[in-house]
Amino acid sequence: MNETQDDMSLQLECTLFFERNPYALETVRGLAKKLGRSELALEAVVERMSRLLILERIGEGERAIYTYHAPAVRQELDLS
Amino acid sequence: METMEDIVREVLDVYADSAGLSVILFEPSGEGYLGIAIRDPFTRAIFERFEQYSPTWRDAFAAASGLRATTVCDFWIPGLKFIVSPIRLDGQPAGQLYAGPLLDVGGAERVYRQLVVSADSPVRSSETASAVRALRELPQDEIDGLRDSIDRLARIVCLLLDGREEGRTESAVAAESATTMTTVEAVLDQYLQMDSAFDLSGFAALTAPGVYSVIRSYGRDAHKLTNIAFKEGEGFLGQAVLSSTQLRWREVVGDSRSAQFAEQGLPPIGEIVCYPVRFGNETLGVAFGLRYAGRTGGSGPSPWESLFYPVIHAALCASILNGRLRKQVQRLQAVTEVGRFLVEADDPQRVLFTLVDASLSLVWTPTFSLLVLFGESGGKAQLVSRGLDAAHAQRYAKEVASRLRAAEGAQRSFREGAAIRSTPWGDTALECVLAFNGVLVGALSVAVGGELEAGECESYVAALTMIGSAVIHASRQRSEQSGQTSEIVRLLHRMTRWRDETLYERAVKAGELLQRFLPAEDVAPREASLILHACMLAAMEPEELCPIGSHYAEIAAMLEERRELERAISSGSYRTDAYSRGAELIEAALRMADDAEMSVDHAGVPVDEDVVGREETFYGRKLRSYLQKSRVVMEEFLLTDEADPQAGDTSERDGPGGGSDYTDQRGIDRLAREAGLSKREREVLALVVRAYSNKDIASTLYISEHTVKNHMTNIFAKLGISDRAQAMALVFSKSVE
Repeated sequence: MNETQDDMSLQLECTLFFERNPYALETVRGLAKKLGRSELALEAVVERMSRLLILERIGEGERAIYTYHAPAVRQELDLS
Repeated sequence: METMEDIVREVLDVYADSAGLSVILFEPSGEGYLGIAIRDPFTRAIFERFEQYSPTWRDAFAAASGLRATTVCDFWIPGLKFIVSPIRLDGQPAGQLYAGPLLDVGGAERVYRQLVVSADSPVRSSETASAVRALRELPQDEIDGLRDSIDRLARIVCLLLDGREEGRTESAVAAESATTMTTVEAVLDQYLQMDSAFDLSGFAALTAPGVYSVIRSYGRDAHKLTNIAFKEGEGFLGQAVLSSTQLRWREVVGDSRSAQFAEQGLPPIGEIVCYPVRFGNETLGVAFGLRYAGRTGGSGPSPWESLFYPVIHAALCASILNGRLRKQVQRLQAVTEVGRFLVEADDPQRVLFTLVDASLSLVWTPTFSLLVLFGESGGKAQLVSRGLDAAHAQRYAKEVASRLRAAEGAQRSFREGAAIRSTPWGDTALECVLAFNGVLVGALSVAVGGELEAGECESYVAALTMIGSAVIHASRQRSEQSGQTSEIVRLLHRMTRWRDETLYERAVKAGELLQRFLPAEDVAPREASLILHACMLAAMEPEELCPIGSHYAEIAAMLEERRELERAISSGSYRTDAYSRGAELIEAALRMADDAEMSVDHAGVPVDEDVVGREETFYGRKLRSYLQKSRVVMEEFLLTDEADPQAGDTSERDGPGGGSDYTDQRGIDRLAREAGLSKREREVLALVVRAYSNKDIASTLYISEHTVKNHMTNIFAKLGISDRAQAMALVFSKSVE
């Protein structure tokens, strides 16, 4: 299978980290240290999570910081 | 389907044809062979009389058993050579591969003389001598080339035999699965390298839904094919992946379908052969061979073509199964980890966020995820979404809600699982119903690229929603119970303000009696909670109980039953089996709470049976009996001595656990004085000897469990004991001294 599918478990791991720590501000290097994963593999994953707006990227390049971005919530939607 | 042994034999045959040598694969014991392809008269002569020559073969086999690499060996007679390659699986000998015979330059005459003249020749006969005459001499570089080919053949045989093994342990399969793809690629490498019929060959694998990329290429211009990607139906290769059989296009110069090669700077293509590799209904990739236009010689079908397909197919099947198993295990582990987080999460909102975000990690081409959580009253819903603007999210949510509500109206029980749906704007989505015990809670919908992706990802998303459903259901139950408790407290407060306070006190006393009795009767926690709530609300009128919600129906039914029971007792029409346990217990507890003696001491009950007489119910008798026994036991532990001048000052009677119930306890007071226990420690000890749990002590004294534990530690240290049993024994001993 392709790389995207191989990264799915890592993306899930990364998602869980930010759900546990919604206020974390992490560079790819910091995240790699906390998860015990390679920076190379994480780069693609956080990039994809940024595209999905799960993470918000602040800055560019190696110093880019990633932080959790909560999904849109709508309470009390009238279904009628 | 062919077995791996069949394929091995076919490999030997094809190689023997191609190289013009005899190839024999011997069993590890050397007693027999797994495959044989004879192509020369010398080997045929030997094998026609195998029984006669078998000792000689065995000797040669034993001599070669120490070989670790493919070697050209003299065989029986100096100058007569065979290429011998050891086959090893997991480090253990699994056979030997022989290819030959070979004669080096000038060797024919020497070997012939030995065979005819030497009396020591083990294979001396006119037949073998004439057979040797038919062999041709080979220069050293050709022999080296054949040795390399045999070495590659041996590696292929190893891989095939390894894949053949059955009954391996799960751990062995797991360990191998990590290198399975390497194994397949190694088989491909070996085949494509050995096949010189093509100018360029390679393998393109499925890398995304409908998209294939060349992952292996061989030949002079192999580097130009690196990273070529194509879609289904695009060019020759794209058409080949849609086919289930081998395809061959000849004289294709100028054909626009070969543009994908021309764009890479390759010479004009004259012929293309493609072998689609399929597993079930799924195309996994395509192996291909290209011949340039104007090629001279070597054209025509490759000697490997007839077996390339079954070999690659067999290897890929094994690879796909192992690879998928490994990935499934990895992903399910990750989903399990998410499940653990969901179960432990305190914040219901975080649960919903995690479900939405995790679902985006479980599909290949996520663009949006939407979670619709229906309100408990119906008509309202909460939406959590990513990748959708508000208008689209609301439109889709209403469509999902309408569909699911319609299904619910049709009384279909909802089960966990996923279904492929189209969104109102035409995208494909995997939709999972959030349901628990058949009760609809909501739905989670995540975008997928198509049916193939949906099929691959369905089980993971379904597993996630199944866990999510259970967590949301549990969270709602907690919230509902908490709401009911608050409502009950509010009602009780109202009762004390607006109604007769004695009714409230009576309910509280009855509740305390039941609180002690219910655990001893092994009443399930939910039923116990229901009985206690109903008891506390026994004085309320039915219309006053409406705000309690769904719990009300059960409480109201229990209270109604209790009123009927009250009437039945008054009229003398009581029957033992006509009323529920709850109704009987509430009635009995309220009657006991009315009793003057009971109102003074909950631990005691009227000894005079005439007080209650014939009116007592079945559970009423049980409750009374339990309380009487309880009183006897407590009196043995806590001997009351109100006359004891050292029973503690009156100030100690004010707090919880320090009132009349607890202070007249000679044993505890003596122990407290002697050990120097503080007032609070004495109160805690008083409750310990009444078999209260830490939690009960905490709620009785309005302190935290942590504080209770601290007090317990101090009490144990001061008394020099290590557990509650010792504390009780100590109190008892002080009481009877």
